[in-house]
Amino acid sequence: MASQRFEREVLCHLDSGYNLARWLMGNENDAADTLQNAAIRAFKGFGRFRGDDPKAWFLAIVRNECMSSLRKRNQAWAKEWSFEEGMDGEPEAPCPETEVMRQYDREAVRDAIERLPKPQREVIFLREIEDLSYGQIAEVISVPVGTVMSRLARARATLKLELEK
Amino acid sequence: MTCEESRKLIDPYLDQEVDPTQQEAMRKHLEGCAGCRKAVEEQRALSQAIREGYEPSQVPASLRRQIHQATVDRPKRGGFWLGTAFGAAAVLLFVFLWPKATVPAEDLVNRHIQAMAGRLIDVASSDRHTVKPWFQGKIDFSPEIPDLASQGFPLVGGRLDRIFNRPTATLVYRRRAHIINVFVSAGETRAGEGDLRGFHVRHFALHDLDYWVVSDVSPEELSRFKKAFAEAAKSPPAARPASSGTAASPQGPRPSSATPSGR
Repeated sequence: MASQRFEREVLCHLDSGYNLARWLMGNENDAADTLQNAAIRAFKGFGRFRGDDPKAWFLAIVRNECMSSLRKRNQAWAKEWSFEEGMDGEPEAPCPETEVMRQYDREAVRDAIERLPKPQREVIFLREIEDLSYGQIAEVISVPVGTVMSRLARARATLKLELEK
Repeated sequence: MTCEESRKLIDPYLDQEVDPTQQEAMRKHLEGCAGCRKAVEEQRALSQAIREGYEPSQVPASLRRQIHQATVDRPKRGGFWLGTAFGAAAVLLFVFLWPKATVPAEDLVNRHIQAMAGRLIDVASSDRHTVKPWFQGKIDFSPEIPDLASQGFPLVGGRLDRIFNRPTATLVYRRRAHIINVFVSAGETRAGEGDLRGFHVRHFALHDLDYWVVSDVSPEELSRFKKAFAEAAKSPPAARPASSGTAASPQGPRPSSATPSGR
Protein backbone atom coordinates (compact mmCIF):
# COMPACT_ATOMS: atom_id res chain seq x y z
CA MET A 1 0.00 0.00 0.00
CA ALA A 2 2.95 2.30 0.67
CA SER A 3 3.89 1.80 -2.96
CA GLN A 4 0.49 2.87 -4.16
CA ARG A 5 0.58 5.92 -1.93
CA PHE A 6 4.05 6.80 -3.20
CA GLU A 7 2.83 6.54 -6.75
CA ARG A 8 -0.24 8.65 -6.06
CA GLU A 9 1.40 11.34 -3.96
CA VAL A 10 4.96 11.56 -5.19
CA LEU A 11 5.42 10.04 -8.63
CA CYS A 12 2.63 12.27 -9.93
CA HIS A 13 5.12 15.14 -9.46
CA LEU A 14 7.81 13.54 -11.59
CA ASP A 15 7.36 16.11 -14.35
CA SER A 16 7.79 18.97 -11.89
CA GLY A 17 10.86 17.28 -10.50
CA TYR A 18 12.21 16.76 -13.99
CA ASN A 19 11.69 20.40 -14.95
CA LEU A 20 13.30 21.59 -11.74
CA ALA A 21 16.26 19.30 -12.34
CA ARG A 22 16.57 20.55 -15.91
CA TRP A 23 16.37 24.11 -14.70
CA LEU A 24 19.10 23.59 -12.13
CA MET A 25 21.36 21.18 -14.00
CA GLY A 26 21.09 22.89 -17.36
CA ASN A 27 20.77 19.75 -19.49
CA GLU A 28 18.52 16.75 -19.89
CA ASN A 29 21.01 13.98 -19.23
CA ASP A 30 22.05 15.32 -15.87
CA ALA A 31 18.44 16.09 -15.07
CA ALA A 32 17.47 12.47 -15.78
CA ASP A 33 20.22 11.10 -13.56
CA THR A 34 19.46 13.35 -10.65
CA LEU A 35 15.72 12.80 -10.97
CA GLN A 36 16.16 9.04 -10.83
CA ASN A 37 18.44 9.26 -7.81
CA ALA A 38 16.03 11.62 -6.13
CA ALA A 39 13.07 9.31 -6.78
CA ILE A 40 14.89 6.34 -5.28
CA ARG A 41 15.92 8.43 -2.30
CA ALA A 42 12.36 9.65 -1.87
CA PHE A 43 10.99 6.12 -2.09
CA LYS A 44 13.36 4.94 0.62
CA GLY A 45 12.51 7.87 2.85
CA PHE A 46 8.80 7.93 2.15
CA GLY A 47 8.00 5.85 5.21
CA ARG A 48 9.42 8.58 7.41
CA PHE A 49 7.65 11.42 5.59
CA ARG A 50 5.11 12.97 7.94
CA GLY A 51 4.42 16.25 6.19
CA ASP A 52 1.29 17.23 4.33
CA ASP A 53 2.96 18.49 1.17
CA PRO A 54 4.50 15.64 -0.81
CA LYS A 55 5.23 17.89 -3.78
CA ALA A 56 7.38 20.35 -1.82
CA TRP A 57 8.98 17.42 -0.03
CA PHE A 58 9.83 15.68 -3.29
CA LEU A 59 11.08 18.85 -5.00
CA ALA A 60 13.33 19.52 -2.01
CA ILE A 61 14.84 16.06 -2.49
CA VAL A 62 15.29 16.70 -6.21
CA ARG A 63 16.94 20.01 -5.43
CA ASN A 64 19.28 18.48 -2.87
CA GLU A 65 20.24 15.82 -5.38
CA CYS A 66 21.00 18.50 -7.97
CA MET A 67 23.01 20.49 -5.46
CA SER A 68 25.20 17.60 -4.43
CA SER A 69 25.67 16.60 -8.05
CA LEU A 70 26.71 20.11 -9.02
CA ARG A 71 28.95 20.37 -5.99
CA LYS A 72 30.78 17.18 -6.91
CA ARG A 73 31.25 18.22 -10.46
CA ASN A 74 32.37 21.74 -10.15
CA GLN A 75 34.28 23.78 -7.64
CA ALA A 76 32.97 26.97 -9.18
CA TRP A 77 29.58 25.81 -8.04
CA ALA A 78 30.05 27.29 -4.59
CA LYS A 79 30.59 30.72 -6.03
CA GLU A 80 27.53 30.56 -8.26
CA TRP A 81 25.34 29.58 -5.36
CA SER A 82 26.99 31.66 -2.70
CA PHE A 83 25.05 34.31 -0.95
CA GLU A 84 25.91 37.69 -2.32
CA GLU A 85 25.65 40.87 -0.37
CA GLY A 86 22.34 42.50 -1.04
CA MET A 87 20.99 39.53 -2.97
CA ASP A 88 18.09 39.07 -0.59
CA GLY A 89 17.84 42.68 0.42
CA GLU A 90 15.29 45.29 -0.50
CA PRO A 91 15.10 45.72 -4.25
CA GLU A 92 15.99 49.06 -5.65
CA ALA A 93 12.84 50.86 -6.56
CA PRO A 94 12.47 50.58 -10.32
CA CYS A 95 9.39 52.51 -11.34
CA PRO A 96 10.61 55.16 -13.70
CA GLU A 97 7.17 56.53 -14.37
CA THR A 98 6.79 55.98 -18.07
CA GLU A 99 3.37 56.33 -19.54
CA VAL A 100 3.73 53.49 -21.96
CA MET A 101 2.94 50.04 -20.64
CA ARG A 102 5.97 47.84 -21.15
CA GLN A 103 5.65 44.70 -23.23
CA TYR A 104 8.18 42.05 -22.43
CA ASP A 105 9.84 40.11 -25.14
CA ARG A 106 9.94 36.41 -24.22
CA GLU A 107 13.38 35.82 -25.70
CA ALA A 108 14.78 38.77 -23.78
CA VAL A 109 13.12 37.53 -20.61
CA ARG A 110 14.66 34.08 -21.05
CA ASP A 111 18.09 35.58 -21.54
CA ALA A 112 17.69 37.83 -18.52
CA ILE A 113 16.68 34.83 -16.38
CA GLU A 114 19.78 32.99 -17.58
CA ARG A 115 21.94 35.78 -16.27
CA LEU A 116 20.32 35.86 -12.84
CA PRO A 117 22.34 34.55 -9.92
CA LYS A 118 21.43 30.88 -9.38
CA PRO A 119 19.53 31.32 -6.12
CA GLN A 120 17.34 33.94 -7.78
CA ARG A 121 16.78 31.83 -10.87
CA GLU A 122 15.67 29.09 -8.58
CA VAL A 123 12.97 31.05 -6.77
CA ILE A 124 11.75 32.41 -10.11
CA PHE A 125 11.32 28.88 -11.37
CA LEU A 126 9.59 27.64 -8.24
CA ARG A 127 7.23 30.60 -8.13
CA GLU A 128 6.51 31.37 -11.76
CA ILE A 129 6.85 28.01 -13.42
CA GLU A 130 5.93 25.57 -10.67
CA ASP A 131 3.49 28.00 -9.12
CA LEU A 132 4.52 27.07 -5.59
CA SER A 133 3.44 29.16 -2.64
CA TYR A 134 6.01 31.05 -0.59
CA GLY A 135 5.66 28.43 2.12
CA GLN A 136 6.33 25.62 -0.33
CA ILE A 137 9.34 27.40 -1.80
CA ALA A 138 10.67 27.93 1.71
CA GLU A 139 10.34 24.19 2.31
CA VAL A 140 12.01 23.24 -0.96
CA ILE A 141 15.05 25.49 -0.55
CA SER A 142 15.18 25.38 3.25
CA VAL A 143 15.04 29.06 4.01
CA PRO A 144 12.54 31.18 5.97
CA VAL A 145 9.50 32.51 4.11
CA GLY A 146 10.81 36.07 4.59
CA THR A 147 13.93 35.14 2.67
CA VAL A 148 11.81 33.67 -0.11
CA MET A 149 9.87 36.91 -0.40
CA SER A 150 12.89 39.18 -0.48
CA ARG A 151 14.83 36.93 -2.86
CA LEU A 152 11.88 36.75 -5.21
CA ALA A 153 11.38 40.52 -5.12
CA ARG A 154 15.06 40.97 -5.75
CA ALA A 155 14.97 38.59 -8.70
CA ARG A 156 12.01 40.33 -10.28
CA ALA A 157 13.55 43.75 -9.79
CA THR A 158 16.75 42.54 -11.40
CA LEU A 159 14.83 41.17 -14.35
CA LYS A 160 12.96 44.41 -14.84
CA LEU A 161 16.15 46.43 -14.70
CA GLU A 162 17.78 44.10 -17.20
CA LEU A 163 14.83 44.33 -19.54
CA GLU A 164 14.76 48.10 -19.40
CA LYS A 165 18.26 48.36 -20.78
CA MET B 1 -2.60 52.72 2.14
CA THR B 2 0.33 54.74 0.90
CA CYS B 3 2.13 54.07 -2.39
CA GLU B 4 5.20 52.96 -0.43
CA GLU B 5 3.12 50.32 1.40
CA SER B 6 1.43 49.33 -1.82
CA ARG B 7 4.70 48.79 -3.73
CA LYS B 8 5.92 46.41 -1.04
CA LEU B 9 2.76 44.36 -1.37
CA ILE B 10 2.76 44.06 -5.15
CA ASP B 11 4.62 40.77 -5.19
CA PRO B 12 2.60 39.05 -2.48
CA TYR B 13 -0.58 40.53 -3.95
CA LEU B 14 0.06 39.05 -7.37
CA ASP B 15 1.36 35.84 -5.85
CA GLN B 16 -1.87 35.55 -3.86
CA GLU B 17 0.00 35.55 -0.61
CA VAL B 18 -1.86 38.42 1.08
CA ASP B 19 -4.62 38.03 3.63
CA PRO B 20 -8.14 39.22 2.77
CA THR B 21 -7.68 42.50 4.65
CA GLN B 22 -4.52 43.37 2.74
CA GLN B 23 -6.13 42.32 -0.50
CA GLU B 24 -9.05 44.63 0.03
CA ALA B 25 -6.78 47.53 1.01
CA MET B 26 -4.66 46.89 -2.06
CA ARG B 27 -7.65 46.77 -4.35
CA LYS B 28 -8.91 50.09 -3.02
CA HIS B 29 -5.51 51.74 -3.38
CA LEU B 30 -5.05 50.53 -6.94
CA GLU B 31 -8.43 51.97 -7.91
CA GLY B 32 -7.20 55.43 -7.10
CA CYS B 33 -3.48 55.19 -8.01
CA ALA B 34 -2.49 54.93 -11.66
CA GLY B 35 1.21 54.65 -10.84
CA CYS B 36 0.80 51.63 -8.60
CA ARG B 37 -1.69 50.18 -11.04
CA LYS B 38 0.92 50.37 -13.78
CA ALA B 39 3.53 48.79 -11.54
CA VAL B 40 1.14 45.92 -10.86
CA GLU B 41 0.41 45.47 -14.55
CA GLU B 42 4.10 45.44 -15.39
CA GLN B 43 4.77 42.88 -12.76
CA ARG B 44 1.92 40.78 -14.07
CA ALA B 45 3.25 41.12 -17.61
CA LEU B 46 6.69 40.02 -16.48
CA SER B 47 5.28 36.93 -14.81
CA GLN B 48 3.30 36.16 -17.90
CA ALA B 49 6.36 36.57 -20.13
CA ILE B 50 8.36 34.25 -17.89
CA ARG B 51 5.63 31.62 -17.95
CA GLU B 52 4.97 31.88 -21.64
CA GLY B 53 8.65 31.86 -22.50
CA TYR B 54 9.23 28.68 -20.61
CA GLU B 55 8.78 25.38 -22.37
CA PRO B 56 8.04 22.70 -19.84
CA SER B 57 9.07 19.20 -20.69
CA GLN B 58 7.78 15.90 -19.60
CA VAL B 59 9.72 13.03 -18.15
CA PRO B 60 10.68 10.79 -21.10
CA ALA B 61 8.73 7.52 -21.04
CA SER B 62 11.86 5.42 -20.71
CA LEU B 63 13.04 7.40 -17.69
CA ARG B 64 9.61 7.19 -16.12
CA ARG B 65 9.66 3.44 -16.59
CA GLN B 66 13.12 3.17 -15.06
CA ILE B 67 12.03 5.17 -12.06
CA HIS B 68 8.94 3.04 -11.56
CA GLN B 69 11.05 -0.09 -11.77
CA ALA B 70 13.55 1.31 -9.30
CA THR B 71 10.84 2.24 -6.80
CA VAL B 72 7.26 1.02 -6.74
CA ASP B 73 7.66 -1.86 -9.17
CA ARG B 74 10.63 -3.22 -7.39
CA PRO B 75 9.99 -6.82 -6.32
CA LYS B 76 10.05 -7.38 -2.54
CA ARG B 77 10.50 -3.68 -1.97
CA GLY B 78 6.96 -3.08 -2.99
CA GLY B 79 5.51 -3.27 0.46
CA PHE B 80 4.63 -6.16 2.64
CA TRP B 81 0.95 -6.46 1.76
CA LEU B 82 1.48 -6.17 -1.94
CA GLY B 83 4.08 -8.91 -1.67
CA THR B 84 1.74 -11.01 0.39
CA ALA B 85 -1.05 -10.55 -2.11
CA PHE B 86 1.19 -11.64 -4.96
CA GLY B 87 2.42 -14.55 -2.89
CA ALA B 88 -1.11 -15.67 -2.14
CA ALA B 89 -2.08 -15.33 -5.78
CA ALA B 90 0.92 -17.42 -6.76
CA VAL B 91 -0.02 -20.11 -4.25
CA LEU B 92 -3.58 -20.18 -5.53
CA LEU B 93 -2.37 -20.46 -9.10
CA PHE B 94 -0.06 -23.23 -8.01
CA VAL B 95 -2.83 -25.09 -6.23
CA PHE B 96 -5.27 -24.81 -9.10
CA LEU B 97 -3.01 -25.20 -12.08
CA TRP B 98 -0.42 -27.51 -10.66
CA PRO B 99 -2.14 -29.69 -8.13
CA LYS B 100 0.69 -32.12 -7.67
CA ALA B 101 4.24 -31.42 -6.72
CA THR B 102 6.77 -33.36 -8.68
CA VAL B 103 9.00 -35.69 -6.79
CA PRO B 104 12.10 -35.87 -8.92
CA ALA B 105 13.32 -39.35 -9.74
CA GLU B 106 16.68 -38.38 -8.34
CA ASP B 107 15.27 -37.83 -4.87
CA LEU B 108 13.77 -41.28 -4.91
CA VAL B 109 17.00 -42.85 -6.11
CA ASN B 110 18.89 -41.06 -3.35
CA ARG B 111 16.44 -42.29 -0.78
CA HIS B 112 16.73 -45.81 -2.17
CA ILE B 113 20.54 -45.73 -1.89
CA GLN B 114 20.33 -44.25 1.60
CA ALA B 115 18.07 -47.03 2.73
CA MET B 116 20.32 -49.68 1.23
CA ALA B 117 23.25 -48.27 3.15
CA GLY B 118 21.40 -47.86 6.41
CA ARG B 119 17.99 -48.69 7.73
CA LEU B 120 16.29 -50.69 5.01
CA ILE B 121 13.31 -52.03 6.92
CA ASP B 122 11.33 -51.21 10.04
CA VAL B 123 9.25 -54.36 9.91
CA ALA B 124 10.90 -57.45 8.54
CA SER B 125 8.46 -59.96 7.23
CA SER B 126 7.71 -61.80 4.08
CA ASP B 127 4.07 -61.89 5.19
CA ARG B 128 2.06 -59.02 3.80
CA HIS B 129 -0.48 -59.63 6.55
CA THR B 130 2.20 -58.68 9.02
CA VAL B 131 3.52 -55.73 7.08
CA LYS B 132 0.18 -54.15 6.18
CA PRO B 133 -1.17 -53.89 9.73
CA TRP B 134 2.15 -52.54 10.90
CA PHE B 135 1.50 -49.35 8.93
CA GLN B 136 -1.85 -48.80 10.64
CA GLY B 137 -1.80 -45.77 12.86
CA LYS B 138 1.48 -44.63 11.39
CA ILE B 139 0.16 -43.31 8.11
CA ASP B 140 -3.30 -42.18 7.05
CA PHE B 141 -3.60 -44.43 4.02
CA SER B 142 -3.34 -48.12 3.39
CA PRO B 143 -0.97 -49.25 0.65
CA GLU B 144 -1.54 -52.34 -1.42
CA ILE B 145 0.96 -55.05 -0.55
CA PRO B 146 0.48 -57.89 -3.00
CA ASP B 147 2.22 -61.21 -2.59
CA LEU B 148 4.51 -61.48 -5.58
CA ALA B 149 6.75 -64.25 -4.34
CA SER B 150 5.41 -66.68 -6.91
CA GLN B 151 6.63 -64.31 -9.61
CA GLY B 152 10.09 -64.01 -8.21
CA PHE B 153 9.60 -60.90 -6.08
CA PRO B 154 9.39 -61.89 -2.42
CA LEU B 155 8.42 -59.29 0.17
CA VAL B 156 11.18 -58.37 2.59
CA GLY B 157 9.39 -55.88 4.80
CA GLY B 158 8.34 -52.30 5.12
CA ARG B 159 9.45 -49.02 6.59
CA LEU B 160 8.25 -45.50 7.18
CA ASP B 161 9.81 -42.75 5.13
CA ARG B 162 9.37 -39.07 4.72
CA ILE B 163 9.77 -37.86 1.18
CA PHE B 164 9.22 -34.19 0.45
CA ASN B 165 8.03 -33.86 4.00
CA ARG B 166 5.18 -36.29 3.48
CA PRO B 167 4.79 -39.60 5.23
CA THR B 168 5.56 -42.36 2.82
CA ALA B 169 5.04 -46.08 3.24
CA THR B 170 7.90 -47.95 1.70
CA LEU B 171 7.56 -51.59 0.78
CA VAL B 172 10.71 -53.57 0.26
CA TYR B 173 10.72 -56.42 -2.21
CA ARG B 174 13.56 -58.46 -3.52
CA ARG B 175 14.53 -59.78 -6.91
CA ARG B 176 17.36 -62.25 -6.44
CA ALA B 177 20.13 -60.15 -4.91
CA HIS B 178 18.47 -56.87 -5.81
CA ILE B 179 16.28 -54.79 -3.58
CA ILE B 180 13.20 -53.08 -4.93
CA ASN B 181 11.87 -50.15 -2.91
CA VAL B 182 8.24 -49.28 -3.46
CA PHE B 183 7.44 -45.79 -2.20
CA VAL B 184 3.76 -45.19 -1.58
CA SER B 185 2.36 -41.73 -1.01
CA ALA B 186 -1.13 -40.37 -0.70
CA GLY B 187 -2.13 -38.36 -3.66
CA GLU B 188 -0.38 -35.06 -3.44
CA THR B 189 2.62 -35.72 -5.57
CA ARG B 190 3.35 -36.12 -9.23
CA ALA B 191 5.18 -38.91 -10.87
CA GLY B 192 8.84 -38.57 -11.48
CA GLU B 193 10.23 -41.36 -13.62
CA GLY B 194 13.76 -41.75 -14.78
CA ASP B 195 16.94 -43.76 -15.09
CA LEU B 196 20.05 -42.52 -13.42
CA ARG B 197 23.31 -43.92 -12.14
CA GLY B 198 22.17 -47.46 -12.93
CA PHE B 199 18.93 -47.12 -11.00
CA HIS B 200 15.47 -47.01 -12.49
CA VAL B 201 12.36 -45.27 -11.24
CA ARG B 202 8.89 -46.19 -12.45
CA HIS B 203 5.59 -44.78 -11.32
CA PHE B 204 2.01 -45.88 -11.28
CA ALA B 205 -1.14 -44.86 -9.49
CA LEU B 206 -3.52 -47.21 -7.72
CA HIS B 207 -6.66 -46.33 -5.79
CA ASP B 208 -5.68 -42.68 -5.36
CA LEU B 209 -2.23 -43.56 -4.15
CA ASP B 210 1.06 -42.98 -5.94
CA TYR B 211 3.53 -45.83 -6.21
CA TRP B 212 7.14 -45.43 -7.24
CA VAL B 213 9.27 -48.48 -7.73
CA VAL B 214 13.02 -47.96 -7.52
CA SER B 215 15.69 -50.52 -8.09
CA ASP B 216 18.90 -51.41 -9.85
CA VAL B 217 17.34 -54.43 -11.54
CA SER B 218 17.09 -54.17 -15.31
CA PRO B 219 14.41 -51.85 -16.64
CA GLU B 220 12.66 -54.87 -18.16
CA GLU B 221 12.48 -56.67 -14.82
CA LEU B 222 11.36 -53.51 -13.06
CA SER B 223 8.59 -53.07 -15.62
CA ARG B 224 7.57 -56.67 -15.06
CA PHE B 225 7.52 -56.06 -11.31
CA LYS B 226 5.46 -52.94 -11.75
CA LYS B 227 2.98 -54.77 -13.96
CA ALA B 228 2.73 -57.72 -11.59
CA PHE B 229 2.31 -55.43 -8.60
CA ALA B 230 -0.44 -53.41 -10.25
CA GLU B 231 -2.36 -56.45 -11.45
CA ALA B 232 -2.13 -58.30 -8.16
CA ALA B 233 -3.14 -55.21 -6.24
CA LYS B 234 -6.18 -54.67 -8.42
CA SER B 235 -7.53 -58.09 -7.59
CA PRO B 236 -6.75 -58.59 -3.93
CA PRO B 237 -9.72 -60.92 -3.20
CA ALA B 238 -8.41 -63.47 -5.67
CA ALA B 239 -4.94 -63.35 -4.24
CA ARG B 240 -5.89 -63.31 -0.59
CA PRO B 241 -7.41 -66.77 0.01
CA ALA B 242 -4.49 -68.45 -1.70
CA SER B 243 -1.85 -67.08 0.56
CA SER B 244 -3.98 -66.51 3.61
CA GLY B 245 -2.17 -67.08 6.84
CA THR B 246 1.07 -68.19 5.36
CA ALA B 247 3.66 -66.18 3.58
CA ALA B 248 5.20 -69.33 2.27
CA SER B 249 6.87 -68.41 -0.92
CA PRO B 250 8.79 -70.47 -3.39
CA GLN B 251 11.83 -68.47 -2.56
CA GLY B 252 11.40 -69.00 1.13
CA PRO B 253 14.31 -71.40 1.58
CA ARG B 254 16.65 -69.10 -0.27
CA PRO B 255 19.62 -68.29 1.96
CA SER B 256 19.20 -64.97 3.67
CA SER B 257 22.69 -63.99 2.67
CA ALA B 258 21.25 -63.34 -0.74
CA THR B 259 19.54 -60.33 0.73
CA PRO B 260 21.94 -57.42 0.57
CA SER B 261 20.70 -55.92 3.72
CA GLY B 262 18.49 -57.44 6.31
CA ARG B 263 18.55 -54.48 8.59
